[in-house]
Amino acid sequence: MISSDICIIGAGPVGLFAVFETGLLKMRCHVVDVLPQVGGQLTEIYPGKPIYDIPGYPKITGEELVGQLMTQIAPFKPSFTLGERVEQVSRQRDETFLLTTSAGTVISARVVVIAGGLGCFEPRKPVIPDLNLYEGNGVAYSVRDPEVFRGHKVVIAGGGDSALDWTLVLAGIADKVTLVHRGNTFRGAPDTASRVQELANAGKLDLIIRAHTTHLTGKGKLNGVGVSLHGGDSLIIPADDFIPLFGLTPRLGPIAEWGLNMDKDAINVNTIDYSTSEERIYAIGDINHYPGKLKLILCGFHEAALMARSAFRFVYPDQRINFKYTTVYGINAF
Amino acid sequence: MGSMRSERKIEFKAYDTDGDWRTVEITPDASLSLLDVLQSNGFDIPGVCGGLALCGTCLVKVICGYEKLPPPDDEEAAMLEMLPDTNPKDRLSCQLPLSSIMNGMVFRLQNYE
Repeated sequence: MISSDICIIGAGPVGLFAVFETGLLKMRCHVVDVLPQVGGQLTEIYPGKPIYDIPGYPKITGEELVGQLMTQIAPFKPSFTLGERVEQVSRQRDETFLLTTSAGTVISARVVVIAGGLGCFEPRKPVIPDLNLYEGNGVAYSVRDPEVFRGHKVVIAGGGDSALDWTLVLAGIADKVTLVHRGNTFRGAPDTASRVQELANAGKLDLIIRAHTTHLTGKGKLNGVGVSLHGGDSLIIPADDFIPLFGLTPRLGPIAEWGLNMDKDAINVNTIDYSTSEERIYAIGDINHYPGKLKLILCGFHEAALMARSAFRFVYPDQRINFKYTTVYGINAF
Repeated sequence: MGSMRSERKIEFKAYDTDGDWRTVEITPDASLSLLDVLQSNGFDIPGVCGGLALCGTCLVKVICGYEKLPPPDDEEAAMLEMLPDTNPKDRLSCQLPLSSIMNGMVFRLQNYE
């Protein structure tokens, strides 16, 4: 079990800066994020896009900002659990929390800070009847271990980089790979797209363009994928595995079931300290809601500072908090 | 005495995902997107990436007037292609500036689930 003063859910810019603000007050943080890397939206959806409203930076890319934040929080030695989603938060008798992730990791903390941004990034799923019934029984939304598909018949759907990349990888491992793509051109990396085309021309994979997947066949275990060609015909491709790769989309996820006072997809907070309706649970950044809320990174930074001050009393109930400027006292690394 | 030039208002219609519809009357303003206007008029449309054409949650189907719109740029086209269940007349409302060509157009919010 991982034990920390504070567990921060979300490793986006606001979650990362919360490590800094709590670190100044001698509180240690463990950070959990469903994505395999830190940075949240910044890294996942617009790493190269410039941001113009970070104070002191006339222009900075998402990737650069995340890099700077990681440098800034390094003295406070945060620990991370990445690629796992916090499923449960349960309050213990001693008022600490136990958080359990999708991979079974357990984290104990005195304070929980939800910096969940837009929620969890999850695979975008096509509308196919009974798709969920085949999840784990032939339908997967990512490839963790390509060897799993050795000797299988695999159908991949999608036209982006990850669909093209995995088509190439699996073409050398699976018994047969079919890529189904709605368009007639690929917008992924041109090199990858042309290699897919070459393998298709050489008969090493099947490429079906201007088509979409319509239904799945099999009893409990997948054995075929129905495809509708935009010319009008339809066919069923024998398949052990169906991998739809349509990118990621944010969803609130399990947070909605933690008993917090919510407003649609946002957590209501008290603007005195960004506390939620549950004592010792705070919500900062895009995930929270209050009158006048602005979903800006800089607002999340401010919220992190006020949260840290409030959380101090739960981590150090016997100590008084003193306001200190970093300019005067510097950074006291752990 | 000068007078402010008054822009002619436009009117378009939008259906929500439940099939309820409303008419929106507004002065064209290219600094606003169709998504902005739908949101400020109370339509429940997420647009979570904030207008970067990166999340696909502001998808609308253009029921009437599709041909009047300029074609999608590369970023919008890439996202439209990425989304699994789009129709040929779907657009990202965050990429459509509010303009006079929208007068009389009809949109339907697409359920991004």
